[in-house]
Amino acid sequence: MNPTSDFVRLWTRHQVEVERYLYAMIPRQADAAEVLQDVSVLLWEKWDHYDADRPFVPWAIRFAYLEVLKWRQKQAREKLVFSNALVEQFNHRFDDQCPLTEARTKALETCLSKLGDQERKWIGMRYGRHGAIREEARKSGISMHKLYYALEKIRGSLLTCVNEFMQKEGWNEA
Amino acid sequence: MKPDTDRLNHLLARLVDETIETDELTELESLLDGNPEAQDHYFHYLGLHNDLQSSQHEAITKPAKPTSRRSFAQIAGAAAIILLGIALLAWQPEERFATIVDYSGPVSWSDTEGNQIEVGLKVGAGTLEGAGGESWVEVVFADGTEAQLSGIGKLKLEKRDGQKLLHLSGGSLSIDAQPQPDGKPLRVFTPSAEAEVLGTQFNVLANAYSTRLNVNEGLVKVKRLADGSTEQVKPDHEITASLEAETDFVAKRREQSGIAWQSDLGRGHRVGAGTLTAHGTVRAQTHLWRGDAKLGEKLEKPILLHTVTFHPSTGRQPRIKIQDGQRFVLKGRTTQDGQVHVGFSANEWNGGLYGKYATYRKVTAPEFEIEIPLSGMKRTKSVFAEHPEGQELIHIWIQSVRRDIGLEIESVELLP
Repeated sequence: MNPTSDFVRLWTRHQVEVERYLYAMIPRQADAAEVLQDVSVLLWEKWDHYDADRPFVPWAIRFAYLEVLKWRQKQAREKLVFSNALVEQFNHRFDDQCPLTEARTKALETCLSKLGDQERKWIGMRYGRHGAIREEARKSGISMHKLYYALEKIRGSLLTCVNEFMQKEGWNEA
Repeated sequence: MKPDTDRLNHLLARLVDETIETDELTELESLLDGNPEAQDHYFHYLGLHNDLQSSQHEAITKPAKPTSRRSFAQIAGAAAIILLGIALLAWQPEERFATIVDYSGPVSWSDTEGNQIEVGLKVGAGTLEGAGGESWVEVVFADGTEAQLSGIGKLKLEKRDGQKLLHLSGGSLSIDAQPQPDGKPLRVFTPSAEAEVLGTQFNVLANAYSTRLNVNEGLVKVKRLADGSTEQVKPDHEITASLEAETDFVAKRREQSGIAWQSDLGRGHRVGAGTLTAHGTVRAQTHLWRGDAKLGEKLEKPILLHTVTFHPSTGRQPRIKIQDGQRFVLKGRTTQDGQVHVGFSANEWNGGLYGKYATYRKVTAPEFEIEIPLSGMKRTKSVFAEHPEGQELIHIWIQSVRRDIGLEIESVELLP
């Protein structure tokens, strides 16, 4: 097989898991996205050393962690969000999360289908288009604060639903 | 220790909405520090946010796909698999029968010998791939037949029993064929058509659903794969072969030219690279480019490109003639401030590739509108002529280089 296509295939398939990891370590979308780019380049540079018999995601996350540390070194304290000690704990703890990522994503699809029309509409607005929540607040007369509070509740109920679904399906860590 | 879920959810909501205050962050850290259960909750919450983000156009907002489009995709997939199967069964090592004479932009070559692209490389069977809008590569066969691939696309070269076989799985291909040996015409395969030529100049633009072929000189025989019907295309005529057998498959004189153009995403105008979103924009498609392997470069560095392309000359629209004073107006959005690379390619009005022209522009999130006079776009390679006036506009690209800035294009207009 062509090494480029092997890499692109695995990266395309698992990018979301690395992205999820990075976002947990750097909980600011723009910063996490920037580091993701650097990770993809680093992985390609290290691709010759990848052992195809071993799983891709843990290998990728090892390098992603190095990029996180590198990124943290370059940032001012106020951009770091969490302390070094907590980030290190996250890194150890995340190993247990990896195998469950796909199952949780599938569970979320089921849970989304159980939402009411209004809830679906607001979630769609929050994640679908920049500025849509602001427009909705203006049109509906509901304050932004209330809409964001409603979204907080919807996310909370989705999380509960996903956890219950995972337990029902026999996933231990949920 | 079991975390206070309501409080944690509130702080996490503030975190993902990026409205969290310093004292709340301190509180969040203290709740998470040394508490594996709270950390799991944190991962689950952020993971959920991430999933909602990435499923925004699928699970939540995406309308059901039209049936006809689905059947298109199925047929396209089947055709691609069949072509791939045929190609794999038929493959055997060949002599080096062509030379890569020039290229620019992100282009790669792959073959069984692991050769890297370079000007002057003599090649046998293998695949050329353009990964960016500004990609361009020219190959000359031993008999002088020239083939130019431009834009994002793939071209597989093969020679069997003295017959040249080109498999174009996407992109724009321009061919200037020398007279071919008796009984061994040059054949071009696309997902929706097969063309056979003995000696002529013609252009092919293909995607997974349809192929548009126009002839400048000579005669080209085209077979539509959907039903096996065949048409001959004369000079200054064109034909479109789509995967739907009900559509017209008749060679027609090329339509009169226009000098203005507008993308029409709302009515399903097909784009080259990029994904149509539920809210009527095109989201940039990400490609990995390994980089030029020119002499002097020690390592190949991959580059991520995030590209949207449009093909004004596809479909049944008139050809667009480039004129002095024209300008592009682009509307779009990004999730981050950044820079976009905007360019276009031009074919000679009656021939192959004329040149590629591009420029960079800064864009500011969340929405942008930029106007670029064509005269302000520079040729991407010195071999191209400086001014493309009078030539045909073939494709337009808008891309961010390396950094994914969440580029989405709402509309592109060419104004006179």
